[in-house]
Amino acid sequence: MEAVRHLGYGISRGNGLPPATDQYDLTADVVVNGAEYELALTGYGDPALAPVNGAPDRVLSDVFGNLGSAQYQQLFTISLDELRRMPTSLDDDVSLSAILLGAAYGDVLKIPQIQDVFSDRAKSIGGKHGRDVYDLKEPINEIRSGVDARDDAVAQVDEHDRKQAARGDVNSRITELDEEIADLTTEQTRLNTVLTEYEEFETLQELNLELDGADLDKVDAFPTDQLDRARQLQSQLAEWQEELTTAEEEFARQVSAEDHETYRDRVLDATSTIRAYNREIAGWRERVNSVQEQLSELAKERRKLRSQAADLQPGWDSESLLDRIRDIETDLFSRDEVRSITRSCEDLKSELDEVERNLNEKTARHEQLEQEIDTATDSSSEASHTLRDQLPVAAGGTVVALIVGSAVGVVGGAIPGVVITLVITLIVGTYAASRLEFESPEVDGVSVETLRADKRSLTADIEGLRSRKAGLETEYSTATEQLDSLREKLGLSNDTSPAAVREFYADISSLRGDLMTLEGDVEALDEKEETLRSDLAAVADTMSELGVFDTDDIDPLEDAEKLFATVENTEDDLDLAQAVTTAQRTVTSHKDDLRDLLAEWDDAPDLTTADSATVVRTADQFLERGERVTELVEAREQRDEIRVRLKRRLTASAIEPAFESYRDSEDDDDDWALAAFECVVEEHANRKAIEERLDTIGETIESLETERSECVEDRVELTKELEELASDDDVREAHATIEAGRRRLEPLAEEYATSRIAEYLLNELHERFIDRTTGPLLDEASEIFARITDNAYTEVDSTNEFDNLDFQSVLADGQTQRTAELSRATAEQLFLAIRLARIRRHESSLPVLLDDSITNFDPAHHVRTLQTISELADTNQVFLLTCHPELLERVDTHTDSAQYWSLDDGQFDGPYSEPDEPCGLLEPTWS
Amino acid sequence: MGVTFLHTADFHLGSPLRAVEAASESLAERLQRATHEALRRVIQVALDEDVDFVVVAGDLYDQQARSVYANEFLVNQFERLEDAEIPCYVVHGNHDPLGAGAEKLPLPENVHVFGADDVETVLYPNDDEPEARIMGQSYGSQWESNSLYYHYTPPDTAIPNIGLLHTGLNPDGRRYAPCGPSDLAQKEIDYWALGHIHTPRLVDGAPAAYAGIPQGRNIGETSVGGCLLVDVDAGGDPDIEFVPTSPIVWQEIVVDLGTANTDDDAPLRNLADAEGYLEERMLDLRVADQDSLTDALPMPVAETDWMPEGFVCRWTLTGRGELSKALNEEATDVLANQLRDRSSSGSPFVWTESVRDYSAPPLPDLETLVESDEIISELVELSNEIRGDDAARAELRAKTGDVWKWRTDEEHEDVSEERIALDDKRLDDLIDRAVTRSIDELATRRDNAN
Repeated sequence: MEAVRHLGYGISRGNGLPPATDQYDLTADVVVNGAEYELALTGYGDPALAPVNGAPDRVLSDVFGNLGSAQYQQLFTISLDELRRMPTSLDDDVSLSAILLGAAYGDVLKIPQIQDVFSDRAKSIGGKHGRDVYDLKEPINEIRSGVDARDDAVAQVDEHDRKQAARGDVNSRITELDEEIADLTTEQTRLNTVLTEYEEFETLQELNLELDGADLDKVDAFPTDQLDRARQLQSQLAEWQEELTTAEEEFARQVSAEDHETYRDRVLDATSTIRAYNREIAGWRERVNSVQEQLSELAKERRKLRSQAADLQPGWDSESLLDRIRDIETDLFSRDEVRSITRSCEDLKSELDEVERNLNEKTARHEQLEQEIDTATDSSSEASHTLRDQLPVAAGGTVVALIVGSAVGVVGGAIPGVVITLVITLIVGTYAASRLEFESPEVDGVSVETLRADKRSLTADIEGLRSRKAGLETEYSTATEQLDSLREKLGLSNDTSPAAVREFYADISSLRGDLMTLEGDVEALDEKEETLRSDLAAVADTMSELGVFDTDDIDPLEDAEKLFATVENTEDDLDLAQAVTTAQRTVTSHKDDLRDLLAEWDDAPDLTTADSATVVRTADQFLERGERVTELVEAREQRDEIRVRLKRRLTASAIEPAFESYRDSEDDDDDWALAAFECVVEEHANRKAIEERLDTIGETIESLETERSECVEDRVELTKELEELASDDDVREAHATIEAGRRRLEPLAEEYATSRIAEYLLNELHERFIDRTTGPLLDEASEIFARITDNAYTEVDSTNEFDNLDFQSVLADGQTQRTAELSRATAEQLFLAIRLARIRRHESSLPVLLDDSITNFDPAHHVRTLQTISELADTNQVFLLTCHPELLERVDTHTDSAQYWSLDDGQFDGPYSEPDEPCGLLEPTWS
Repeated sequence: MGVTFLHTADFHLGSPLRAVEAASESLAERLQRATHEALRRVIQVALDEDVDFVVVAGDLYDQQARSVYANEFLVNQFERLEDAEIPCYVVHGNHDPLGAGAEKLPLPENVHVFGADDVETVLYPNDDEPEARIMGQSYGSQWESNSLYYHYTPPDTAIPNIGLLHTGLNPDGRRYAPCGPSDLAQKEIDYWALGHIHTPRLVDGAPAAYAGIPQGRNIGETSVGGCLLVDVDAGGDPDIEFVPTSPIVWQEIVVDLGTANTDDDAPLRNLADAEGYLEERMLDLRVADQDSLTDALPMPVAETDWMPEGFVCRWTLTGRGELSKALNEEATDVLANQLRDRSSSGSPFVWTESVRDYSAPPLPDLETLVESDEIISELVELSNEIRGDDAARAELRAKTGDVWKWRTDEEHEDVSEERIALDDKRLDDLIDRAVTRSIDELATRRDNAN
């Protein structure tokens, strides 16, 4: 049996088999689909499959239908024990159920394990129901806390509204308190003002009382504005009256005239003239002095000219010096003319002298040359031919040449004619030249010809000089005549040189010019003297008319200082006279002014014709009345000032609102303020009552302000809370918390869902496979089981607990029994049925070993089981091992082709066609 | 006679971006204020375009994220319109229903809020010389089961009629003013300004459009946010143009480990490879132009100089590859932090919201596995059957656990924060992952047995 079990898979060293005495060495003949093979197993090597008789190649795993060693052992080698328990040789990965259900079904049987993995994973995340437990708990709780925080944060909007409303209430209360405090403060201000102005108000009332008894119309009508002026005019009138008296006395004392009045009038009449004279006195004085100084200067100048004239011409009479100068008519000659005449004489004389000197020199030279030429000429040849002698020869030859040439030209042509002419002319010329003789005599190395040329040149020069000399002599004569005439006119002698004439003319011209100037100045001074004298004579006449200057035998110019003193004294008189007049006019003016002023007083008498005394008395009365009026006016002004001051105080921006409630109308004037003030005063019995009211107000305000401060603090607190509530930090933080939780939750939820879905899918897959794969198997097992049990059980069904090898057996009456409920034999029949069904369904027909597997069956079940096995033997080689001879007999009874082997002491024997031999070996055990 | 107006909706003011947990303080502030900034930009568009008026189709703020700050910000933005004398017409939606505090907002006088009791009609600019008729009705509570559209009946068609409605556009729904495109089309409304759905889109079969959310707040709102400029004449088809405004753009970038390679065309094997590869993808994002970002929008896009201030990215690793062996919860966190360190500054910045690992170790491809393994083949077949089996799906929904909340499309906003919304797509994703995981286990155990 062990050999069969290992034949296809080899023998491993650790599988519990006893070691071979030599080595394991197994062979088997294998027939697969009619093809023969030899299967050989040697030692611990892999089994080898060798084709026999031309069988096709085949791998051993194909022969065994890819069945693993363990599966083959469990499926095809069935012992009694192995029907009920897991073989010890199997590991965890190879379950008996997998073997029972088939190799592919092993994978299916792993599905529940994977299911468990997914299930465990899901449970660890979210428990059975995927709720807030295990891994899901924390993120869900975080989300919930975020949601709670968000709800709180969102509620902040409502809280904000409430707080805003509360702040509105507080603001309203503050406004009310402000109004109350403002009212009380207003009253406080009002009463404080009343208290402050209380005394002044009493004064006002007293003044009102005083003024009520006065005729204020008359007071208003009284020209109080004239009081000061009246007082001033009265005083000034007195002062000027005294001034007039003093001026009249001073005039009388100063003036010598008997009739002061007349003299004063005359002086006053001549006021402008006197003032003018006095203004002119300084000028006059200067003019007088100037005339006198100029007279002196002119006399001095005259003397100087006389001295110069005497120096210029000592011969002149000293008395008539200036007349002689004046008589010389220098105007008849201009300075240039004099200079021309004198210069011309001098120049002509100089040039004439030069010509004469040259003439003399050249004449002497000329004579010298003549002598030298004469001497040289006498010693030279007399026969010498000269060029002049040869000229006729040359001329005659030339004529002949022209004639002959012309003849030849006529006869033989132009060119031969010309040639002939030139040839003849050349011949004659050559002859004449040969006849010339040249001889040149010399004097001291200079040729005569040169001397002759010099002589000819000198002759020409001498002739020219002589001609020039004659011309100069004529010009000089004319110039001398002009000079003489000039000398005569200047009164100079004829031997006076031209230069002296020219100098004299310059000096006399200058002196004469100075004299002319002096005489002009004298004449002008005379005119000024006369004019001054005339002016002073007019002044003297005026003074005379005033009676203060005598003009007889008086030269105004000579007595100018006296006249000037008179004029100055008269002006002093004039000043005194004018002072008197001014005082008179001022007195009159002041009296008129005072009268006019008093005319404005209704109670004044008629002063039209009143004298000064009356006017002054009336003025006294006027001033006396004015003092009373002034008192009343001052009282009224004081009253008005108090009113104004009070009104200003009451209408000051800080005070006026305090009295505004007492204002009846919107009049522009401020009288309402005084009326209001009076009302406030009247509302209180006295000053003390006002003070008591002020104390009450102060206390109330303090209380209200305390409450207001509390409200303000509340408002600050509310505002702070509102600012905090206005932030969206909380809602943002809450959302962040929620989001953080969701970010953690979502992957876990996905993992949970994925695991659960995978678990579900695998479960569905498992069931589907079980249904699909175990169905046919169980159908076949049911059929075998029914046959073995003779239909006591009709069906084998699955409990899906394959791992536990649990099945349901369905009885004929339809009842079901779990495996644990079956008897041992029935349970073995059940598992045998399942294995046989599984063997039937296996694709390869492998040998099957049954090791006393049906020992526990009763004979009837034995028979039915053997019949089933017999049918299996149609497709599979079946090895039935037993130590029970009755089993062999039943096999023999119920099968046709079984072979029988005996195993005795480790040795197989057989095969036998009958079971007798083997049974014989088993007999002893039966006993 | 026509009018030009700005259509916007779903500000969800105060609702933060779901990506700020690990951001730096300055970046977190930008992300937190993104919805505010988007609204400010929407208002700026209205001012720049000098529109006749502005319509807001609900969900101005999020009831669950409301704050005094958000309220004041909203009022301030409306005041900007008031300064420019631009009227604004508002309906409230399910997130800011009247009666839940919306009526307390001290809105300026240029803002008209439609009541919740009935459809109201307002004439622009005034009753005497109307140029347009705006009709609207606010939600009075979180849910509105009435078909509000039905009462939008303009008296005439002489001037453009504009309907302002917050609806899920689901005729079978029960919560968000149920109606369908055909319902809207049958009314004499020239333009339906819709709100509630956060993706901008035109409605087929009706003169209607969703403006979408001006700023996406989570990875489910990856579309570029903005508003619509609408030009409509009485009886004419509206001209609609999308104007992008969102300062932040969400991106989910799926990386299939089966196809992703390094620069050397080698498969990604470790975290360094993954970091390098993802950095390249970040660079691609940073140089993306406006056209590429708005290409997917199903409507004309206005020519503007808009570019996002930054991107918030979720990197989803899928497929099979060696890298999967190096990935676990800690590794993905490390990878995310490294990516944040790299590109969270600059302009535009790229902020990594998370790295999600749905990858699996390398195995033969599924076809090979199915052919070679009867169990895997059966598993795949079984999963396919289950996907189409309502009863099985219902069973699977129950299996996902209480932490998941099954919801319909209409209920997408009604899932509490401590539960995860589950819909058919998400369930299919979970089934896919479960199948993958199961195959991994089966194959691994089989290989180990051999």
